[in-house]
Amino acid sequence: MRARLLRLLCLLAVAAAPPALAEGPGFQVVVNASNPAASVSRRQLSDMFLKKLTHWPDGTTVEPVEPPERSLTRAYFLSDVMGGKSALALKTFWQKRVFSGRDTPPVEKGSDEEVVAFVKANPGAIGYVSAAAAVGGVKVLEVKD
Amino acid sequence: MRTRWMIVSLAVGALASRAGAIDVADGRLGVSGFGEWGYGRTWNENDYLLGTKAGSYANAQFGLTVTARPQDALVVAGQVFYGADGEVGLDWAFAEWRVDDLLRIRVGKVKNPFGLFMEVKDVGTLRPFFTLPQSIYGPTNFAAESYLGAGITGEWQAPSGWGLAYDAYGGGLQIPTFEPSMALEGGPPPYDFASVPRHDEVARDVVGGRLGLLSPFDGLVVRVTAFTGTLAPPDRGEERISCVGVSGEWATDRVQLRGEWFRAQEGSSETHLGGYAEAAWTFLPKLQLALRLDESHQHAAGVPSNLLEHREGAAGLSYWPSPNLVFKVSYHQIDGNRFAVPRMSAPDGAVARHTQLLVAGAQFSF
Repeated sequence: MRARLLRLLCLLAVAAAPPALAEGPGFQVVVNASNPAASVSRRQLSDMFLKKLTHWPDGTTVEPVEPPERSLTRAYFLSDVMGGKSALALKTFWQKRVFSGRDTPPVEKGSDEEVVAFVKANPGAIGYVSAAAAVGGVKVLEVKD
Repeated sequence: MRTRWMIVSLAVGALASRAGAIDVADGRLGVSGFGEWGYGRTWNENDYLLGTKAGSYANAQFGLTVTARPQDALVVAGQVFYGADGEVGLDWAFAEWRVDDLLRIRVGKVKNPFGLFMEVKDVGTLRPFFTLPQSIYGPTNFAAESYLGAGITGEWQAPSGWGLAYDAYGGGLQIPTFEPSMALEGGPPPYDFASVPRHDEVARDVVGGRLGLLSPFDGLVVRVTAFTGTLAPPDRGEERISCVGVSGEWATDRVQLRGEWFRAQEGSSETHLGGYAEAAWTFLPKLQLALRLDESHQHAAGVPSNLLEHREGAAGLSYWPSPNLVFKVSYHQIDGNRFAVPRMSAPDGAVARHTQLLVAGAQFSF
């Protein structure tokens, strides 16, 4: 009886657990082709997407752009770059920033293609797309620790 | 008219539950909004917050926030507020010049950097209870929603994750006040509390600010807020008002713990003390339980103590279909008449000291 209950609890726990993200980068970070940067640290990336770091070294304004909120790429990015911050915590962070008049969240696009097009059109833009996305016309940055 | 407001609010809320902020011109212009509708009732003659003995349905409000970035370093933002009673107001409107990541200069009618909630006072999706604790955010004679003047704001964070968030400003404050003891100045009983004005006192030559600790631990907030300025009430001469407070919060996806304590001194004889502690627990994915203790004391000579004190215990349950929409119900037990008073006292001047309040409603943001 006790073993059956334990098995049932284990099954429930597995069913209730959030889907685990596969190993690997899961995304690629892209910037405008004119951007001289070759790499970016996770800390810099996090600061750029939280708008704490707002300028590139040459003074150009950083313009972060993201794929849709519910995309797997966004989940990979949160897990790998934003220190495991949950989507809810991030949403609350941006609500507080918006309604206190302090900032607005990064621009959100509907697909990888739209993210790439935005990055291509804006010299200060930085975005992330799925690992399999076509990234012609933009530069892929190496992500460092 | 009231019904129409409720329908509009709830309809927008239903839409908002699936929507985020409206972003146009690739982030150069953003439109966000918030709103609520609530029902409140008390079990005696005392009115408190949105509650009346007969039950009040006419509690709806809606706000729109617009942020424009005409140049990379320039942000212009404003928030318009609509109340169910027809009240329309400009909550804030300012221009911000971003010198660099450490310094932003703000000019206009700017959200007051005060405590944990003053900058997001009307946004119900950012708190567990329908209403904010009155000891700090009510008509306490020290809590202004915005400052009129100029200020700076910024953040500095070391690679370790520790840092400081800072705000400083100078100008004027419109401070909401409500002193039920003024009803006693109108002569012998019964006392007409409905005639006591709920108005803003203007503090001039104000200097103030807020200092916050940034930490590598997600969800931890520690802040100190202070200001000083000059009040000129019509019945008294000029007097100095000074206020200082501390705020702390630990918030994760499941658990929220927070508390604040403020003290204000008005002239040489009047003091205001307020503080609360609040805990919330999301025990199922969309269900949240919340508890709050809230206490306020005003010290003024020659006033009955019940009109200067407020002690409140509250328990609430919230259902969050999405982070943008929440349905809340809460029960409040109040001791004291600092904020909870009848429209008119008994013929002998007596006022019920205890009040029970039930609040139910929906709040949304997008």
